[in-house]
Amino acid sequence: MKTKIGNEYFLNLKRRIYQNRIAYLLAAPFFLLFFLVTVIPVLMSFYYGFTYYNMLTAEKFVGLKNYVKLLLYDDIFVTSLKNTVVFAVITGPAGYIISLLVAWLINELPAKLRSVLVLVFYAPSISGNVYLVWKLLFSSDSYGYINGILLKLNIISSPILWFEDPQYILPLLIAVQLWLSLGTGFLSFVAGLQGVDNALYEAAAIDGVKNRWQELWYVTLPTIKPQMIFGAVLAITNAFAVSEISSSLAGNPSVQYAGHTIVLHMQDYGTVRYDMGYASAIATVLFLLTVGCNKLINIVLTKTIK
Amino acid sequence: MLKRCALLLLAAMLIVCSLPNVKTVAMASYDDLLYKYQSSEEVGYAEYSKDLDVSAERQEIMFEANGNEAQWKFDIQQSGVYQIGFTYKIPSNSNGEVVRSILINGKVPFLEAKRIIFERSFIDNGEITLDNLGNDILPMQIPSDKPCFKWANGADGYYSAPYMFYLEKGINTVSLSKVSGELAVKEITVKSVDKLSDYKQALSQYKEQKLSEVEDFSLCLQAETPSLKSSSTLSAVSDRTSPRLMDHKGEFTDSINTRLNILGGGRFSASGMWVEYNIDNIPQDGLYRLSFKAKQDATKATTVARKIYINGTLPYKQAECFEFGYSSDYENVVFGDASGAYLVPLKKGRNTLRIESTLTAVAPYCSALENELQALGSIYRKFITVMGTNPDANRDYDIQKKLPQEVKSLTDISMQLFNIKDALQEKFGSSNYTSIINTIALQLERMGNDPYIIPKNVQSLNSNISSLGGVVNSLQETDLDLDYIVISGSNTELPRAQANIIERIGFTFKNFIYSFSMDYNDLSSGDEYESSIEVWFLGGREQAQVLKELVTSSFSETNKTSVTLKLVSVNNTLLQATLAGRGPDVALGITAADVMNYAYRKTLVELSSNGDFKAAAMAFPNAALTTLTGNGGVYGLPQTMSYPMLFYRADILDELKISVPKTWEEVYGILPILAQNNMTFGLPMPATTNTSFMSLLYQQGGSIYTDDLRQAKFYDETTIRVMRQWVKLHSSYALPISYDFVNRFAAGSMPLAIVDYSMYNNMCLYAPQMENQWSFTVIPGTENEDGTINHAASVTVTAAIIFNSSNSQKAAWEFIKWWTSSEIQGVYGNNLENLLGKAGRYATANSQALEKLPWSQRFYDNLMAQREYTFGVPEVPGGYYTNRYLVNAFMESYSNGTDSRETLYEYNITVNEELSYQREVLELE
Repeated sequence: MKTKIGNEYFLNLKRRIYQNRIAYLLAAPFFLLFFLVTVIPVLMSFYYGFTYYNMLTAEKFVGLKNYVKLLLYDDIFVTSLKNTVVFAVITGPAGYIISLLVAWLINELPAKLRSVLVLVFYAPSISGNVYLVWKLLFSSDSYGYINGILLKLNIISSPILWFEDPQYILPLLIAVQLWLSLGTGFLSFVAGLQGVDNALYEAAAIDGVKNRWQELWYVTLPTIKPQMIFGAVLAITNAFAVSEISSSLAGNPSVQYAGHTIVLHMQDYGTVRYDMGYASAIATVLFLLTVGCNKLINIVLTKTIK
Repeated sequence: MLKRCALLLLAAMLIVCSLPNVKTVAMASYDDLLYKYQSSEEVGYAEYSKDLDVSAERQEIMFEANGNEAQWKFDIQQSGVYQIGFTYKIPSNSNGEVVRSILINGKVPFLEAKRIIFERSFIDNGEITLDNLGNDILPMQIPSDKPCFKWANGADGYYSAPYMFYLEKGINTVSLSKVSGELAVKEITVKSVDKLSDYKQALSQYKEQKLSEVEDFSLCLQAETPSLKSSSTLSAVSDRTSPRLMDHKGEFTDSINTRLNILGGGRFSASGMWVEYNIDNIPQDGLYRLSFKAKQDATKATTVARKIYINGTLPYKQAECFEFGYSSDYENVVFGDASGAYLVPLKKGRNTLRIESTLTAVAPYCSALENELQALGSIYRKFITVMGTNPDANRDYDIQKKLPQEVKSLTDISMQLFNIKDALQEKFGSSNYTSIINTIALQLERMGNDPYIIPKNVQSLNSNISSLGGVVNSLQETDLDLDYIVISGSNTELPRAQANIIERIGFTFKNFIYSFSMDYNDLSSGDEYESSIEVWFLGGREQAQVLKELVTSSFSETNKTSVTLKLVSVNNTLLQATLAGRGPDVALGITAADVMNYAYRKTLVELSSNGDFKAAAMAFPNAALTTLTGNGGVYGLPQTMSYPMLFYRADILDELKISVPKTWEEVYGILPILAQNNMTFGLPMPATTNTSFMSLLYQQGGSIYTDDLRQAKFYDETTIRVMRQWVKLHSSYALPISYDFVNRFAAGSMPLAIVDYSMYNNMCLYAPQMENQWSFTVIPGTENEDGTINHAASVTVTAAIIFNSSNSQKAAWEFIKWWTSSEIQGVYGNNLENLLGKAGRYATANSQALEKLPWSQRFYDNLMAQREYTFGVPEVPGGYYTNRYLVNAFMESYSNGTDSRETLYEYNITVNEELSYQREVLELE
């Protein structure tokens, strides 16, 4: 009986696939690539998480050993998790709100000025490793810019080791990340704001909207909700994936792991220690963490902005 | 208390002991004597020469036997000034600079005569040939074995004219005394000083000799193939900027392949460099025109000058300094001036033409600027002794009372600078150089008039001094590109120099299309032999180019092995390629840590089991081999090895009256003196390297790992003591954690620093004008109980490795043996330096090859002395943790002021866990 239903189902499926063959054909290139370059690597990484694999010799299956070590014994993972969370909690929402506000303000300006300002704000995030300028500003040398100025003003008496002294590393990295936060999300906000239909504002005015805040809350934000969710996903992913800034400004590993993030921890194991199995386990945890956060943000955004 | 008194006493004693010896009376420089010589009585033409008639080999022996000195006696008929010339040969087995001093009647007449450099001259070993892909191959540049002639002249190029020596009437002894290098002198000539006539006079003389201008004649000399040259750097280079450049066969090079078609390309740039051409088949005695197809895009602000010798002599004054103005593309430049061409006399048959780079046009400005620069530098240092490098602008330092002399000389220097600027402007017009000089002169003028603003300006004075130094360097730029030289008659038209628009577009388009199929990282020559290996080279393009030339000329054929050489930029590529099974047979330039990473994961071939390993490894210091040893064998042959040296500014130490410290105790003694003068001592930066820690540790007999290399020894008393000492140097003595070495060393605020000796290259590149003001020596050591001093220093090594996956391991082993051999490393280092200049000095690991590099004696001796004391820290599995936690321990003590003992104990556990874990997963037992 069961098999019959099964058979029928499959026959049905076959027929339906045949009927929609053109659609499948059109979708095939994307799915093929998607499976090849995204799904398969993710599955492989998931598998390697249960092995010891040093990349040069064949992997050995070790069961849950990596996860046990990661979640129960690895102090540095805890540090990097803490740093990542601090990073994400501060730079994610703050960067998001800054992007939104700046986009909203810019939207009020005349078109020509607007495009110039968009470029100005967007420039830091498209110009590659431009954040390295911070390394110059906050050089630990007494002739570094900030140290030089502080020494000159007699605020400090000896140069501060900005990227070597653990107490300064994380705050500085957060500042740099915020500076870079006007990225793709910001651009999508600008685009979204320009797409809002003016008729909506007129209708809202007739319906009794009194000030700009109400306009923003009841008209603008609901209209650009797709862009906002897109921006939020980007903000969270970026916040969790912070690594390059830290490794190029504070080094990998940074002094006493003060700027260590999960991604850096993963790179440390993957490329420095040649322990791909463990790195894969970290990647899996990071993956789950990011997906969870994104789900959460989606729910929050959908609930608050109606 | 007692202890402190004792320390103070010790410091005082050290200071007293380190006072420099009484200075000898300074010798007059050539500059000082010049005016005297110029006013001295003129001597009628006289030439004396002594052919020694001794075979070259015998002459060498004579030099050695007679206490490195050779003498000649001359009976001079008339007192006056003479120039002295030598026909000499440098034995092919000698390396390094050949320097002699000239003594007249047993005395050195002036300072510069102490250092007369005898240059080698070079030739192309054969013609330019083609490789399998159709690209030009440069022939090896080899020293010429023919004797050459030179007048004793200056080495810095300012006095490019031969030195004048004053000789009394009667018997005079001229002697040569050895400074360095081997030399065989065939003939010595003493001649009255040449007086060059003006072109017009010369022309009328030619007319008297019945020489007339030839009408129909044209001969083209390809500049890239001179018959003799002063430096192997002056080899043919490839220029792709125009399709109308001619290669050595006289064909236009609009080909997509590499054509070595010009001379120059940034290399014909040092004063005194020359190339010589044979002009064959001149049909008749007569006067000819000379023109160059040249491009001078090096400097807009000044001109670039060349001396033109015809048959060994300058024909007239105008040939002493022929100037090339700026041009962005190749142009026909006729030897002459606005009123017409200067004709040169050539005889029937073979003539020679020599083109020599000279600074005559800019020398007066350069030497004047250098004098002011030196004065300014010393004033700046006086200022910072009073005010510090970062003075308070609002404080009155009472400069006028404390340094009245210096304040006064500010105005003087300012005046001088204004004069120099005006003179430069008059000759070459306004440029960025004149505006820089002007800015500084204005600043100095203001500071001199109102000393109260000095504190505010001290910092910018420092940066202005370095930009003035930059001006001096750029003024000495004499770079010139030459495509060909035309000798012609009056009726001959010169070929068109520049490409027209259609030729240009076609050429660019062709190159653009070709760029899609060309692999610029593949440097294989395409030869086919029975066996073949693939070699990946981690490093720069120039380095790979030089290696390729060597492979083609002296490996492939003799070993019947074709080599596919590829340039790889990042180490990661190597790992990934190895993973994918597409890795090379041999990789060069791999850091010791990576070598051992691969080795412990069983991907490398163990080398010490080769029968001839011992012979191959003999020339390497143990330190270098130690870093490549582990897992029961040796996994690489060392290629480069560098280690720290103590760099010091001799001029500043002289001024402060302190001597170079030999021990750490002496360092502690001079730190207060440096601090008083607002100067500091540089240690390797702790956040990036633990060189200072490791060196101190090994100096005190400690080691970082247990003997079986399984555990770290952070708990050891020596380790703890050294860690405390390291922290103390940076905290109590406030030595900077982070700094820019070249900047501070050149500015003088860091007159002593322990840095890697490869910084020599940086100094040569960024502060070449300071060459004689600094030196390096062995790093400070720790005194042993028996009174000897241990100068141990840790090394950084890169190596050549062979992969397990290779199918031709035998050929690969032959290759890395060849590559790391003394001979090839020496040639490679020299060729690289020929290409890149002093800034390309190669830090070879091979001790015998080091001897062949052109280090001057003072550097070489110290380098070798330090080499004796080098050690390598073994690379153990998980060793990265050791470094990481050493830095962490340092930072923790430094930032929080805590004691190191607890931290080290704690970290020892963490590090040991990692070491054991790595051993376990790598299954090493």
